[in-house]
Amino acid sequence: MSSFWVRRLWQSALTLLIMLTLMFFMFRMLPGDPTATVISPALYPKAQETLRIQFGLDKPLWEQYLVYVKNLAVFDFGLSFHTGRPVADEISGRLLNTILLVFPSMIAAYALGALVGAIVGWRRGSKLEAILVFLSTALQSAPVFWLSMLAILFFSIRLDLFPIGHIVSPGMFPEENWRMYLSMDFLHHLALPFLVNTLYQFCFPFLLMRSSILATVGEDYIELAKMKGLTDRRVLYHHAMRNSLLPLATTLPMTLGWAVAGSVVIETVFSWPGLGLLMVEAVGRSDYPVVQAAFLLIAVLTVVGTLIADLLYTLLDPRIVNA
Amino acid sequence: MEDSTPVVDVQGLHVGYRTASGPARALLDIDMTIQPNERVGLVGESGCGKSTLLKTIMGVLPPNGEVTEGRIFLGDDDLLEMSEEARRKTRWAEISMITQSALNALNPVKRIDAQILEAVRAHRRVSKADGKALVARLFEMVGVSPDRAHDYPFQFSGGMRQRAVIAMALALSPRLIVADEPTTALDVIVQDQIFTRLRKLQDERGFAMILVTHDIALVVENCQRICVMYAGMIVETGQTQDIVNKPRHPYTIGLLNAVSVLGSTREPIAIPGSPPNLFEKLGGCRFAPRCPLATQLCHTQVPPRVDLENDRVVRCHHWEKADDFAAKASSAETWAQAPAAQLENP
Repeated sequence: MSSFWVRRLWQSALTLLIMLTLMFFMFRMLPGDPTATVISPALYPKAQETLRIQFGLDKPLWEQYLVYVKNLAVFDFGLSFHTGRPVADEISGRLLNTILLVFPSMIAAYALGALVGAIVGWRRGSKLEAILVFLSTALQSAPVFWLSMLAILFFSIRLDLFPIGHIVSPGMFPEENWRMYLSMDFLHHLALPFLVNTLYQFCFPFLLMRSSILATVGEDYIELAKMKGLTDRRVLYHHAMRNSLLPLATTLPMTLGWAVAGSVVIETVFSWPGLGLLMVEAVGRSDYPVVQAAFLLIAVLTVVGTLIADLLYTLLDPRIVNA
Repeated sequence: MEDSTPVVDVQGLHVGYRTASGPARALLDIDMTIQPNERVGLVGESGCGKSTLLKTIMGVLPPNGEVTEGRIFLGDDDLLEMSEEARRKTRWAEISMITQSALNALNPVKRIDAQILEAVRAHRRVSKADGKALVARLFEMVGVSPDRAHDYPFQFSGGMRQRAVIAMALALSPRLIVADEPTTALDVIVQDQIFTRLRKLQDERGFAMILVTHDIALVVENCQRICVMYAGMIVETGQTQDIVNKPRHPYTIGLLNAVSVLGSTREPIAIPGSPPNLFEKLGGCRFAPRCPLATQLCHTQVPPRVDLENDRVVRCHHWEKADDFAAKASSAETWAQAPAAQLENP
């Protein structure tokens, strides 16, 4: 491994440390007393005190912080204030639900956006181009909760094609297990949030790819590729698109963390039991360990995504050599 | 040479661009014949339509460009009448190009051998081994070590990139190679090496060549024939020696005058004024505003094509006065009589 990557990994680790420090103190500056939710005020003061000691809430803040960091180092995220279960168990199932919703729709959106953007940019000036540019600019500026509600209103309530929310029909899978994810019922519930998210995420790669292609069309190497007698398709896919793909291929991994964070809205509207919905619930309950772990996870995703983007860049563009 | 079939024969070509500020007439009534194994120089100022002419021949005019009249014969076939697929097949296989800036002409993210073989594979099937051998042979021809063929363009120096582009142009043994300012970005030593190499390759392989440049000295050194372009028209063509010794068009005289000659004390003289706006309707000779010989006739009537001895063509109402004018052309006062100069310093 070259010194570049060693340096890059150190930078990432440092970024994460700063992130988790900021998060730790920021949540404790928020109004609201966690002890009020964790420890019932109806308990005897003596019992309250015992519990406070048990959760380590009696210690000064800096000591709590050190314990937190020390535990993180061994992947111990603590216990949820709300359920008392380990945070790792609490989050892992929810994270899987979010990943199943977000990642496929991101990949679909980027693949579709890149292809449509490239074709539309290549045939500059078509009617389709004008319509798509208008629609995606409008879509991109629309709030995603509003889009979700419109989708529910139209497809679920008016047309009765899809369920209005949840991950499976209530009572179908009393014990949540992997069998649930293989059922048609799950796919049926997944369809609408998936479509809304894909449509919403489509706009950015579409617009980026289109403008990137437009910038490429005038390049000398595109003209030379045409003069070489290559077919129009080959010039588009092997030259124009290949080069315009660079900015797109590197934004995709970088936006993964952002997409998971963005799932808060869509999951809330669709009552999708993912990480986003969990975060909303946990913030409301001042459930610090859960919130911290969830935010940390998003930070890790973003940092790792950025690392992947760097790596992709060196693979896709030979001019970038990280010696 | 006269009875052999030309490689490319451009006849009465008119090309325009549709632009936001109205139609621009970029090429007017271009006639140009290129014989096998011939080197023709195409000279003119920036914006005179050299590149448009090449793009029209190569069939890569931008979407707003349009051929309004004329034919381009490749052997017996009119390129402008062909189907898109037939036209595609002629590209590179019959006419290839050495581009203006080899720095930007190569795709930065593809290996050079792949870019060369891609051109070959667009026309015929080549096995992996044959492809490799072909690229190695081409690299040897242009004087770059074949071990470097698998490099990316950014790993090459400017001169090497230019040679790689020449290797690419030779890949399919075309009948005509168009060289658009092939050495503008290079220093004179590399420039000379490349031209020596090109002339040698041409002797061996027998392709014809159009050399496009604004450097008239380069053309005089390298080409048998010269076409002088001004504002979308070919104002004079002929054998290089005839043009240099006895220029017939005032613009050619001006161009030759504007070149400094080593060992001579004569100062180069610039032609006053600047080329006309191509949006204007053609009401006469496009050079008239800058021409000291211009008369009322020049401003109202497009000069006809005059065919002279030895394949000489000139488009000037007053070509017969050229000798007389050439004698006075080395003095700045002569040019000061042009209408454009009068406007500048009344």
